[in-house]
Amino acid sequence: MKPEIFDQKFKDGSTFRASDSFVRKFLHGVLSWSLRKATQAAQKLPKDWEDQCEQSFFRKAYSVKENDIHARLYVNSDQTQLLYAPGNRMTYAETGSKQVAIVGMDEKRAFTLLVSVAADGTVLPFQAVYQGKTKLSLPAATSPNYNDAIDAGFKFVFSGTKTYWSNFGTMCAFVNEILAPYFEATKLELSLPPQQKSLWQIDVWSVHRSKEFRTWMRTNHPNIIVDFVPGGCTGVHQPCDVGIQRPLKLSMRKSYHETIVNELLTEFDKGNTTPDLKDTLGVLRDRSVRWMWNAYQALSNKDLVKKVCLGSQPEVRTGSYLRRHLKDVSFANGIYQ
Amino acid sequence: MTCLTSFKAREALRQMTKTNPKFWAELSMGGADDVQLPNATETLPEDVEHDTELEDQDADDSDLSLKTLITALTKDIPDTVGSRKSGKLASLTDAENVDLVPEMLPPAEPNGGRGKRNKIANKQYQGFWRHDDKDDWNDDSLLPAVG
Repeated sequence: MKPEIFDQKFKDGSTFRASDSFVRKFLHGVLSWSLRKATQAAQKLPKDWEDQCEQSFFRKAYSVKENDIHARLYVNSDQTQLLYAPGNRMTYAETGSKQVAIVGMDEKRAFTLLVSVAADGTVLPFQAVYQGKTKLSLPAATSPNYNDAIDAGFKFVFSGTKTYWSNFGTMCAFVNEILAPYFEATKLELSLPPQQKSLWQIDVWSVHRSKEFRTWMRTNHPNIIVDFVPGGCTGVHQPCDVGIQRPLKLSMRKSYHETIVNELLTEFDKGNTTPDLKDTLGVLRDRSVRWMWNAYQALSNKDLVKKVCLGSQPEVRTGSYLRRHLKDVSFANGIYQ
Repeated sequence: MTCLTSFKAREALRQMTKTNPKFWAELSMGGADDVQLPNATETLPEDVEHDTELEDQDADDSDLSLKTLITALTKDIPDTVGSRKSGKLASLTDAENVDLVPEMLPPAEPNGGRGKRNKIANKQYQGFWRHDDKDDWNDDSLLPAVG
């Protein structure tokens, strides 16, 4: 090999990094290995998605106008599943080979993260849902950054089932322990009365749209107006889906990678050239707290959140309703002026 | 971009009794969940549990630093970053794209003749990205001045 490459400066001023694209090219060009992974078809938008998104826009505009809802009182929440070991579904195989076995392929260890952002750019504390039926399924209090996360209002809950998916119980816990307290504290800060309405935008996942959950919301949180993102339109009309989940997942991957690199380097320094990486569920679960904390700090970027909130609103020129009624509109910058 | 509280949006709402009375009725009657929601028995894309096994292709931005991804999402895509059809971003810097293969595997010279490489001791790669790296290279949209 050529260690001097580390010191070489290229024409555009860049220096060598073993980046993903370099590794892929090297493995493909030198070893004739190709990256193997399953492919996923892009989600299709409904045919009338523009009209649906415009109607959704006007529902929100109406709620905001009628109830004088402040930007800090408009929140979007979205859940995402995060693998403890991202990338373990990929492998390299000799180019042209057809059947590829992936070690660990049968493992599917993950947890659910519920992320929420307000229209003023605030990121609410995360709720993380772990598979299991007792507190023993949650990260230990000794996990790195555990106290930081708890102090910031993070909630770690067990699903109570055999999966790590959110369910009616975890959603109610989220509203009771994170969303409603956030709205109440914000109203106090803004000197608004307790009966001031707030707006909560979520997707039409079966639990969200179930009569049971909607009735529970009306009974227990009558001042929170629930607004649903039109079905199949989350990729274009839901702030979290449009721009938050992507940096979130990248942040989690970087943190995971950092953990693995540090573990390997520590072992190398001890003289152990063939270390076994610690990958038990408990170890990974405890590490996930730090990864979430890193992501929370990276996402607490008001420019980013405001931009994605704005970007998830329909473009004036694309929607037929707006074309019909607002054709000369040049909207102001921001969801709220 | 559209603003929920802009004059034009509100003017459209004010005119909606005439321009779209049916939708206005739905808006003004309040609590119109049942109108906008699909049937609970219907299976929607949102009901299909996301398969993390299949996400790597779409979600993989790991070629870039977090700072660069956020720059690309909030401002413009930097010149040092390219966008694929899938929306995935990739680094375009020379260091990642120059053809290193011939240099890295030089042809063996018999009897140490002309072109023999000087041997340089191995050293450990230290360029790993860390989440909270303070290195300038944390932002790969910026290139150091060529000097």
